[in-house]
Amino acid sequence: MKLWEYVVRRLLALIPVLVGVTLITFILWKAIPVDPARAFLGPKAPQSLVDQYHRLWHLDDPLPNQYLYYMGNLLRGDLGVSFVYKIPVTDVLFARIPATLELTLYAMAFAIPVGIYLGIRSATSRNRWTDHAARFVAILGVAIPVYWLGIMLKIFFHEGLATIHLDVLPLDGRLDSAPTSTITGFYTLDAILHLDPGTFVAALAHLILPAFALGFAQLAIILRITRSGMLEVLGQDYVRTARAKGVPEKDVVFTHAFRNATSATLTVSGLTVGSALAGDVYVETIFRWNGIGQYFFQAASTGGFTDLLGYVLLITVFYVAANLIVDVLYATLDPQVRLGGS
Amino acid sequence: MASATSSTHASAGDSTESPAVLRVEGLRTYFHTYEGVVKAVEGIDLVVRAGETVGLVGETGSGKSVTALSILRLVPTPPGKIEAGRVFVNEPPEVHELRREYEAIAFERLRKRGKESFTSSAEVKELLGPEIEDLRMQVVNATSETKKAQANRRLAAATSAYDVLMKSEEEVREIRGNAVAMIFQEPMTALNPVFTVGTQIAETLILHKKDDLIRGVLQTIDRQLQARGKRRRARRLSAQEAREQVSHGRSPENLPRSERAGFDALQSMRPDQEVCSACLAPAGSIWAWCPSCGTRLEFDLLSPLRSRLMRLERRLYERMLANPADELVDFLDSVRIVRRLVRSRLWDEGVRLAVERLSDVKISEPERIAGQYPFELSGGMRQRAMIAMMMACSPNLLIADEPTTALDVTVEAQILKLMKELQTRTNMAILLITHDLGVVAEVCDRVGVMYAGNVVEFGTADEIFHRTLHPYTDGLMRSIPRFLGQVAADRKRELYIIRGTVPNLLHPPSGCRFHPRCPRALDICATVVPPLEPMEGGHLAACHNPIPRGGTPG
Amino acid sequence: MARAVVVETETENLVRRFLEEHAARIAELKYSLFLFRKNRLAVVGLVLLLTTVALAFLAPFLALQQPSYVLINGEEQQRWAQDLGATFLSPSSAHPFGTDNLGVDWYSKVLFGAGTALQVGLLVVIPASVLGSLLGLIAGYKGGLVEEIVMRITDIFLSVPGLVLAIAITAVLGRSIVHVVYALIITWWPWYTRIVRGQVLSIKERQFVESARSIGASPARLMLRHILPNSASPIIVQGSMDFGYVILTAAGLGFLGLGAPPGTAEWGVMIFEGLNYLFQAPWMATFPGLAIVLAVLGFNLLGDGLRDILDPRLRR
Repeated sequence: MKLWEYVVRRLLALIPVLVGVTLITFILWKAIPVDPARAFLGPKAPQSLVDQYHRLWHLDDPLPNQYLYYMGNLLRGDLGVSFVYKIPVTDVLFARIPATLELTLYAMAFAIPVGIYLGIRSATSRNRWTDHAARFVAILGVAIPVYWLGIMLKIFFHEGLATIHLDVLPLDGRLDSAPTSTITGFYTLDAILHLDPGTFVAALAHLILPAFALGFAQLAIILRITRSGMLEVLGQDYVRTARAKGVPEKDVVFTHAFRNATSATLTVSGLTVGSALAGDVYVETIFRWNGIGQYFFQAASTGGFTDLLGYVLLITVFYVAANLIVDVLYATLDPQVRLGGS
Repeated sequence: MASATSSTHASAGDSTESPAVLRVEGLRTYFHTYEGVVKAVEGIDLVVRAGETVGLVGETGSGKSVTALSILRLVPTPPGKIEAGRVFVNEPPEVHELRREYEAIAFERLRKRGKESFTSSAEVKELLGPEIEDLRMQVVNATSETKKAQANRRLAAATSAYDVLMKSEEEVREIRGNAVAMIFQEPMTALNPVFTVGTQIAETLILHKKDDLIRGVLQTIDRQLQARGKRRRARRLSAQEAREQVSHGRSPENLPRSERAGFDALQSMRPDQEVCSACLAPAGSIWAWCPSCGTRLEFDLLSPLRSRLMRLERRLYERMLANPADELVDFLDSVRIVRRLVRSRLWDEGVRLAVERLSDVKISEPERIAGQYPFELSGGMRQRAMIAMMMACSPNLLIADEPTTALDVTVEAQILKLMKELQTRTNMAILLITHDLGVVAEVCDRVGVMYAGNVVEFGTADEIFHRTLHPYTDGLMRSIPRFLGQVAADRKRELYIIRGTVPNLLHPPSGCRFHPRCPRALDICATVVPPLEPMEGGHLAACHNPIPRGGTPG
Repeated sequence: MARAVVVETETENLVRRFLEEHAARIAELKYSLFLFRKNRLAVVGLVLLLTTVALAFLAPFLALQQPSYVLINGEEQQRWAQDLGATFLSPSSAHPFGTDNLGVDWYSKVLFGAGTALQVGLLVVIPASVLGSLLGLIAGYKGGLVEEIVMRITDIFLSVPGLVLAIAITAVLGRSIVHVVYALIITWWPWYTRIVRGQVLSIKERQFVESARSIGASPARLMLRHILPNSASPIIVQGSMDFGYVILTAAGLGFLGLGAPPGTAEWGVMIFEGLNYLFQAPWMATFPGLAIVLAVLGFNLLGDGLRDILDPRLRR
């Protein structure tokens, strides 16, 4: 079948899943042990006001009706009012998304290519030490908690390097002072659009540590999976056939072998996006990055229930979208998926 | 061993038969595993001549596949290693004679060192040091072309230049798929699943016949430029439509009725076969330009610039042809994306030739198949595709490692027939590796029987089957359950089995490796390895107690 | 007549017979051990793991300070004696890991944190794996509607990034280690379902299952005695690695303030406190994190080693 048919089919399959997630968030909403209206208005608010909000938010209606109102709101793009900021949740999210996206994109742009390359090198190197070193780094990478890595980086780049006066990299925030105007909200991109190299470099400098902290774990995962995928493929018959044809070794590895090993790497890349989105919460908290991760943390520590659930829905959408892209890429690369072979 | 080998090959009658495409001498391949050293191939000799089919028979573990892989140096090298041996490919007869002379000299020196046979060509080269020096000087100082050629031949002989095991990685790659090709047992897994059949065949051509392809590309560009002069676009018609149009007098695209040949060809096509409306030749969906007349068949985004672009391409390809190491070409090559664009015409040309190769192997609708992926093909077709791929560059030697074992019997017959036809056409040699004696009987001129890493018997098919010398071969013959002929008589006989099991190659038996299972074993068999020696003319056997002529075996 | 008198006791006889009967299995085991020993990383992992467990058990004896426990709102909480005159001491022989903002010995807290971490790991991995595997087994075996429903639910849970879900659940239910455990179980079970179902699907078609069925084995028997043992190895591998990841995630939740209350000897909570005093007392954040790394590393290496051993393709 054609590619777009495949895409449409996958999109349709997503709908029940997303509905299911709304069910989960709804269940969580109802599982809150305290009165949400009271929590929102505070202990000093008069009971009449609280009752009003009960009616406004349909808190006492029969459950199925509540769910319907909930879904209705969602479909209209209404995620409720932020308990933390008292403005619509969607507003908060939209304001903060660019920061998170920029960070995550840079982290993945670092993790994926480097991870793949090292994975391939590790699988094909005859030198056992290279292989062992790569494997160890890969294992270490997933054992180091993101939050701890971020903190260690901060310590090192401040205290450690201060002794040799190299504490160059900024540690907090996206820029030292807010930019004058933003177009996309991506500071690096905006700097390019404004033809402002100074801001560009500054924004980039601020990105280095958090992006590395976030991407390191993903790099380890990708390295591992690429390596094992390559090892498996390199033992296949068609690799031997390629050599028997006289194909130079470099092409045997990168063209013949790797094209077949990409499926595992691709699947994992989708998963690492989810992992990165989760890790965002930690990284943004540690590096004082004004993204949705930091927002989530605030919500979690202050009991911002709508904020929490709104974030969960949004992140899920991102994650699901990323996996959809992965599936489509899969179909593009693997003819068997597309053409429905054995 | 060396003397035995030389006599073997001498007695095989060099001068009167066709030239030897492959000579294997003393090949030893071991696998160093954690359990120990597996001695998979223990000193074997083989000769395969142009136009002949030599079968290599043996059971699993006899070392026949490893032999094949060793010839092309495809043995996985971390555990495996070619410990000793020499593999000569396409050595001209004159050079061979000269080499013998030099090796006689070297052999004397070897004996003085206390050794009995050559381990490798490196050893020979080392022993002939002074002669080689001398010859090099001769080449440099040669006064005429003929003298130079003579000296070069001598030099090649003395340095064992045709020994594959002595060559650099690059030189070996040039041989693979080109002079020597190999097809494998499992067509299911031997083809890369993510590339189309046409692309995989084209790859072989691009690797080894690039110049030919470039010339083809240049011709194609010219053809397309010419076609552009006449008309910008043509359509794809189904053969049926085309037939109707022509028969109604309305020639598609004003094709003159005089081009009847095209029309006749149309009649024999399948009704849904796509043809070019300009010239009526087959033009499937994999072509953007008609492969015959060069008219554009699909929408061309760059249409206004196309002629100019084509002329640029022409210049580029001319450069490539003139100088393979052109800097501009190298530079364009290094950027991945540009490289694909630059080479796209090479691939197109490769695919065009691939379609031809596919029809050579009797695949119907080769155009359609070329655009398909391996998983879309049946087993027999995949094997044909693999044959097409490996034969694309007209190899001198085809090594077929159990090519039909995974196929149905009827398909097997077709494939074997195909191989024989190809052989007749191109005079190529075939080394057929199999465990199926029936196949051997049908197809092979000469046969080598392998057991536990040694060749135990070698001769013509007739000799092996009817005048069996080695007890193992005899055992094999008898183990075949027979259907036809003596059915009634056979029902009363028990199935014959060779007692014992295949030896563990980690710790092979001493002396003759077959002796523990041999009904004719003598005491000497356990201690002395029997050399492969001529017993009757060209029929060789490695046995201390071979089966006597006309007598019944032990 | 002379007869060699061989005296063999009852036990010796039994042992000998046992060894003979199970000779093949024992050879397999020996081979497994050999492979394991060869795999140096796995051995390292095992060592790290055992050290962590040992430290957890021996904490009361090795620590320089002991916590006391008080009951607040039905929940048992840790209390550490403060020494406000000895705050922010850098690591020294008296305090190997230094002291925190309240003068508590950090080394002792790290040691006690091991126990908490391991407990959480156990309480999460076992229920999650059992629940998930059973569901996967049933789904894979029954097929049809049952499979559809189970897998749909699994997909739904898997489409929310694990950590996010865990944080949301904990935040909603309220800060408490118990809630963390619940949240993590809910987050973790789907993986097992998926893995096991995949295994079951492929094993179902294998010949030995057909053979067992053809001699009249019941579905339950088939599932438990034939299919499950063959799908056990991915469960074991995944389980041992998950142990580490659970510890990591639980600490992460602690870091965000969602698990144990502040002041508890829980590695995540301790790192968060370290964040507050990042430059004054860098050791506060460093050591608990190091502990996490070593523990998780241990489980990962072990899991990896187990995978190498149990993978039939890599065995010879």
